[in-house]
Amino acid sequence: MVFLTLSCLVRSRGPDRHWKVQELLKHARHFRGRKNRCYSLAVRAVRRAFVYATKGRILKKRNMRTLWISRIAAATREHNMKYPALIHNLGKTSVQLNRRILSELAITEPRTFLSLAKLAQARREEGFRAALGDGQEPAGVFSRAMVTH
Amino acid sequence: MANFSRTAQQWATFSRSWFLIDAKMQPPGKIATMCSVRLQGKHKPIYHALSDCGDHVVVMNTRHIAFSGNKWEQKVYSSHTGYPGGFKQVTAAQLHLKDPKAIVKLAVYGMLPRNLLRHNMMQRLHIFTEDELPEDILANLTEELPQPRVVPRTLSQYTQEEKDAFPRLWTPPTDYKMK
Amino acid sequence: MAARCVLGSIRTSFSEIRQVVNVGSFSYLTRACIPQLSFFGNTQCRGIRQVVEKQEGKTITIEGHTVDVAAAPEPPNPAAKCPIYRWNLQNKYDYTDVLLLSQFIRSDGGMLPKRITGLCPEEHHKVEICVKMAHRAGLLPDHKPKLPEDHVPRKPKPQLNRYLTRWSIGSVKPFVRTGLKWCKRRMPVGDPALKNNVQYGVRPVYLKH
Repeated sequence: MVFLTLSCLVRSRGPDRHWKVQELLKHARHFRGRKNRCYSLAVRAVRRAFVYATKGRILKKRNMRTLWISRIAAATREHNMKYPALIHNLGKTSVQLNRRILSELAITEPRTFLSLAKLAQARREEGFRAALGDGQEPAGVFSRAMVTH
Repeated sequence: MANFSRTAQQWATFSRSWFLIDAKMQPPGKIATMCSVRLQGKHKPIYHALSDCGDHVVVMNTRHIAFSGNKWEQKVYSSHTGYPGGFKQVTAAQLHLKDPKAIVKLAVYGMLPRNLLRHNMMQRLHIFTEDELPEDILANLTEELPQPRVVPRTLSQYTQEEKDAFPRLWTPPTDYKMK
Repeated sequence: MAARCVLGSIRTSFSEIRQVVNVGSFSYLTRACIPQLSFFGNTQCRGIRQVVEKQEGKTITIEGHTVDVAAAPEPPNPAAKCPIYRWNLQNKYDYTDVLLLSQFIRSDGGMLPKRITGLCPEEHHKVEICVKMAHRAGLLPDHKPKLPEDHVPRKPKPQLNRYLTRWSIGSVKPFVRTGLKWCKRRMPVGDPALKNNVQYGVRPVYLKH
């Protein structure tokens, strides 16, 4: 925990020990057992709690991303596609929606998500045709697919 | 009024549907993956690990599951009774003859996350050894899931036309006496 | 070679002789012929030979007919000696192709000799493996060894469904110790002889579970 006020920056905060204890117990009041009222127990618990909080801020990003991915995967399977195929082909079609937005679309706007899935599926089939060699564009036609891919 | 329709939508979103899986001639591991996804609710876009949004799964014909390889004899299920010398080991065949539901149940149980919701999820799994389901469960079913393994046809299931349409790969010599 | 030719010609001539058997005195011979008769009745589609049995009063006439073989469609590679290579089927069949496998087995389920079928040794080995797997998966229910007349089944064995079974059922032992997590003893599924089979997918053949 970082204390941003000026008074917190000062190392020695006066002679009164009572206020120093209250400052710390303020963060330990919701703890369980004697940790929420005994200073010597609370100081250790609060220190651990702040370490966990710091680590948790990093983990939260990771966990949220896995949650978005599992939600998108579930929504994609409803349209008979798989998650890697969807994400790869949305990137190929220059759809720059991140996974948070995609998962929100899957929950609140299923038809928008369906159209995105259809778009990815079309791009996928186009890629398959190109790989097989018979999906060539006719000569003299200049499309965006030729520029970007 | 708008509020009322939103309420119904909310109910519909979190309602539990009932899936049916036919385990006849299917490997129990593939059955268990399908079950565990549905029991956790990982097939829904609203999935959250703590929201308990899983569905019910009914597995029938568990007496007729199929193992690949020699797993009926080689696969071993271990348990311990807690008493000294109470370490039990039975093969899959022995366990299946004792309890036809056990193999599918253990496979699903092992694939669920190890948290406090696992027990609730297992309660939403209904296993039946044969294809006769009770009436109250039949009334609930909403969807039947496709079988993961394509069951090959036996030779007697092919019709005579299909047998005749298959070309003869070799012609036996005329003087060979077929046994 | 010559001896074999002679034997073959003797066999052909013997089959065309009409065997007139009295029912009362040679009942053993007639009984022995009955299962053969039923088998040849099943396999007319193969078009090899057929035993025709007629009964007139107290005499049974058993006659061997050579059935005309219908013209087969032309294989894509007629120069090859092995039937699998003749039809370009190498690495393209597995235990589920019972229509193919049933052409290479006898009525009791065993393999026909490769000097008759013309299979090369490698393909004969693979077909044999596939036939075994098909038997164990129960895909060839009618190709079982004939049981004697007075056979009484002792106790019905539990039928466990299985597929891709490599080893015979009585020969394997349970894996009581599977080993540590990073070096587990895996259970074999399928046969490594068939690992070059054509796969219509991205997943590789997985022989150890």
